[in-house]
Amino acid sequence: MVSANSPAPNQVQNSVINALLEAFYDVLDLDGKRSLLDFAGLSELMDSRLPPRGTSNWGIFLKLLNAMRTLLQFSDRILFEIGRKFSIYLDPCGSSFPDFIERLNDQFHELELHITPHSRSEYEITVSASENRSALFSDTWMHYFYRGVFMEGLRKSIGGEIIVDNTQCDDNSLHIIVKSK
Amino acid sequence: MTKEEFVFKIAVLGAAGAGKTSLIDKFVDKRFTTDYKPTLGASIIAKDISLEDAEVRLVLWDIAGQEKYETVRSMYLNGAQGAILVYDITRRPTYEEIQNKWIKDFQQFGMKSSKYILIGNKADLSDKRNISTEEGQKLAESLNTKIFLETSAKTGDNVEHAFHTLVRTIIDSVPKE
Repeated sequence: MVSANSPAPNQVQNSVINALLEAFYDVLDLDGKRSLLDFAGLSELMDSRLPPRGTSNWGIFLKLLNAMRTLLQFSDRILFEIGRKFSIYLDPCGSSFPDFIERLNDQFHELELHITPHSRSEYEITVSASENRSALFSDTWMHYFYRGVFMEGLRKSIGGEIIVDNTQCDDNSLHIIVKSK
Repeated sequence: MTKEEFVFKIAVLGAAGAGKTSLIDKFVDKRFTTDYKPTLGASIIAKDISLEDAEVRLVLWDIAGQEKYETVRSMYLNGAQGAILVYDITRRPTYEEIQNKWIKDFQQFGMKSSKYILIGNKADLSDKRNISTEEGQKLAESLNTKIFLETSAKTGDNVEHAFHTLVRTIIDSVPKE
């Protein structure tokens, strides 16, 4: 279902891109952010924020994810931390975890997030993609990014210490369980 | 013969101003600048190299030497399979920091099976030299690495050789199937 907040097809809300850029800066400082943007061919975004209410081409987001996959492979802690910060900047006030996942669904074209509650404090999230986009998560390193996103999303929702209990990947989907410790 | 393919994360470590960024710039882009701009956080660049028997992608991490990055440095070193430890042959404190600080950080936070080499940089400044080649070799021995080179990011002397030597050492340590 497409909500009223969904950007048009092939567009992504600028707030999503801005959140990722803020996360890059927080974790890797200026030169790290610059490295990722240079690799993505998006160096024009180095010193500017996109208008938060506008939208941009979805391809920009894909380029940023691709830069992460390439330059941050082997850096699981950094990918996790970028995911966590991304989650904070995207939804600074926090919301219920299912609402947060729904918001991501609205934003992420070509990815479908399905949430299965096991209890109020334990959820399984399945990320699926069309075959030609499964590289967005089939690469093991990117799992750490999604783990950070979901862990922080649940922490904002219910508080306390959250753990990522299990991550599995098959051809076209990634399954992550996050739960209260 | 089909070449094997590898991807390695390599950290370049050493005191602020030792010439880490210049070494990487020389290796990757064949350029050298005298402007000194401290690295903020970590600068990361991918460089593909072709060896006789292997195609290798290096993900090079130029890690800031300033103290303010002390707490995040462990995260930056996470997963590194190799390191180039750099001191400046004209400044003794940068040499002393290798043993007191950089090797400890790398051994603690890099991968357990990782490899490293020692470099004395700015070899073109021989009139300002404060650390002899013999002292460099001694330090390398005490760090348990047989590989020590003096380099000049300015002239390019030994720069490519240093990176290739480290890569070869890492490849040779990979268990053969």
